[in-house]
Amino acid sequence: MPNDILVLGVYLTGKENYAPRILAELQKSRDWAVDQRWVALGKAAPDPDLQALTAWHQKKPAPKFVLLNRLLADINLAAYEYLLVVDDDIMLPEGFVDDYLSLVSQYNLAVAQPARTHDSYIDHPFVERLDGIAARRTRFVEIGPLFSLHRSAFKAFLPFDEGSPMGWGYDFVWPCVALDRGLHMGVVDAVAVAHNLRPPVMYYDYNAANAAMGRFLAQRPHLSKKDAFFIVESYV
Amino acid sequence: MSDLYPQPLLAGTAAPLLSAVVCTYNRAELLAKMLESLCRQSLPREQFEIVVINDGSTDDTEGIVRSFEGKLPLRSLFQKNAGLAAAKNHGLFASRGDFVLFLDDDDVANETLLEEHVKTHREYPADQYAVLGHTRLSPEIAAKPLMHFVVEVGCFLFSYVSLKPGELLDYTYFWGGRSSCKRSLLLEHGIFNPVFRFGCEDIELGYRLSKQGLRVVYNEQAVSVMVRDIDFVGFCRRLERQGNSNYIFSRLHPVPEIVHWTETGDADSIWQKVDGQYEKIIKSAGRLDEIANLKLAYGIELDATTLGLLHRGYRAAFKACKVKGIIEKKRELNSPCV
Repeated sequence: MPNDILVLGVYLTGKENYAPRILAELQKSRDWAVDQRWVALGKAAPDPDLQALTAWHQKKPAPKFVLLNRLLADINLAAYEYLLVVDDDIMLPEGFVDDYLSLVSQYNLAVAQPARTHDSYIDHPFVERLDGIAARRTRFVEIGPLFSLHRSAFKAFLPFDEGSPMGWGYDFVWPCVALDRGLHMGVVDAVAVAHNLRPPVMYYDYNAANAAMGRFLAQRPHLSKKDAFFIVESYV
Repeated sequence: MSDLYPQPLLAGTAAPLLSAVVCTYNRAELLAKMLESLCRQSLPREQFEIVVINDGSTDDTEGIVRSFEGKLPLRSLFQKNAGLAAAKNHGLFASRGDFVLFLDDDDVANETLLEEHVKTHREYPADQYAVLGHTRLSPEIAAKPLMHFVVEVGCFLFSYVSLKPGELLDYTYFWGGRSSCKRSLLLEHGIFNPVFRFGCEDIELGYRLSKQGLRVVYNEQAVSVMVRDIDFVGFCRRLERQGNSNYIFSRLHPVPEIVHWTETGDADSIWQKVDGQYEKIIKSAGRLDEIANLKLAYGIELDATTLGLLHRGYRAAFKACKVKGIIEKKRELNSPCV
């Protein structure tokens, strides 16, 4: 079993973000060898401190999952046990990688996300941290601000479907893909991340992403919210 | 948004109409009574499910729940003790029904309780309509002076005195333990705030949902019966905790209607009058309570003078306890160490 994990992400240049802290925290893992590849997105010059982990500087706007696929195109995934996809606007608790992946591994969650802290911006109340439990098996994992795939899920989920390039709607299609392949999904409550730097959809077009989601879902099997926002099992 | 999901894969897969969520903490014996009453529901069994959230109980709650497996469409989940709001959220997300009814573990359900909730939701199918059922005291505890006072006179527990059958009410009637709502409303617009370990979690959520048009329909036929007696000391403690939560609620939403509902606006001035007299107020009301119970135990009816004094004592004590809770929480949260 490889003990390497791959981290992919996009950080905005010229906008306030937590990228330096995030990259540093991810690199601190004691249990995993962390390989990070980031894209710097925006007209402003990237932070020189992040240069070493920045694959390239994308000056023109481009959708997140298109950029992630471009990153993935040059990577041999066989070397990695987990893939983490990370946004640049979250606060990670200390020891995040080891604590989070320990629970993800323990509960065999092939597709997973950390819950959002109570003070985060929250689009779906379902992903807010549930106090009193460590993790839950679910039928929903959100496309951001951070999710992980185990190697058993790589073939089914990668490269990302570019039918909705900002990723909107993936989260309702993914459970069908996971169900079809017998993969478990889940939310890790005990290791929550804070997502409160900026409201979602601040720097891209809501209407375009929403329309793309509508088209995307119309053509794919997916769950309704009622079916997706459901705890299959919870763990303390 | 739901129009964007035209192919729900799992819709129609035998999900029940109603999920009854019972959160419980160290009340195994009472929980058994509640579950027993749910075994006798008029609503067909395939149309409901019971979701028990064990909020870290250390008594025989697990054993009691296991003893009902097979007798009920029952799902049980455990969590470390995290309080009522967190447990309710856990239960909400473990539910499959279109309607979610939050029940108290110290009540028992009349046979038609679940059927009546479903009936009203069918009459009011839009998402924003919730249903408030009617809770009455069991005859044994209704005879106790304190329980009679807090329900029928002082309205410190719940009060239906002014409600009319079928009345459409605002969010301040989204009472926990006896209300149901559409699961989709909460999934879309908000869940219980886990900062509330006891009290206010229901009305605070109701307040947020009122921005989505929440209305509460009162169905007096949806009956549950409270079977747990609360003694004087227990009720004082309960009101202190209620006061704690009231203060938190008013900090979260510092608007006039919430300040009014939580009774936090004049708490400081009331406490100035109460402080120094607090122990006397409580002791005196407690003594009156003892005397009243003693008289009843000996078969002596309470005369009007005793009753009048008793009610004045209760009112002063419970008001003081609530204000104490407000002030203590205020000091705690405003302390430089927090």
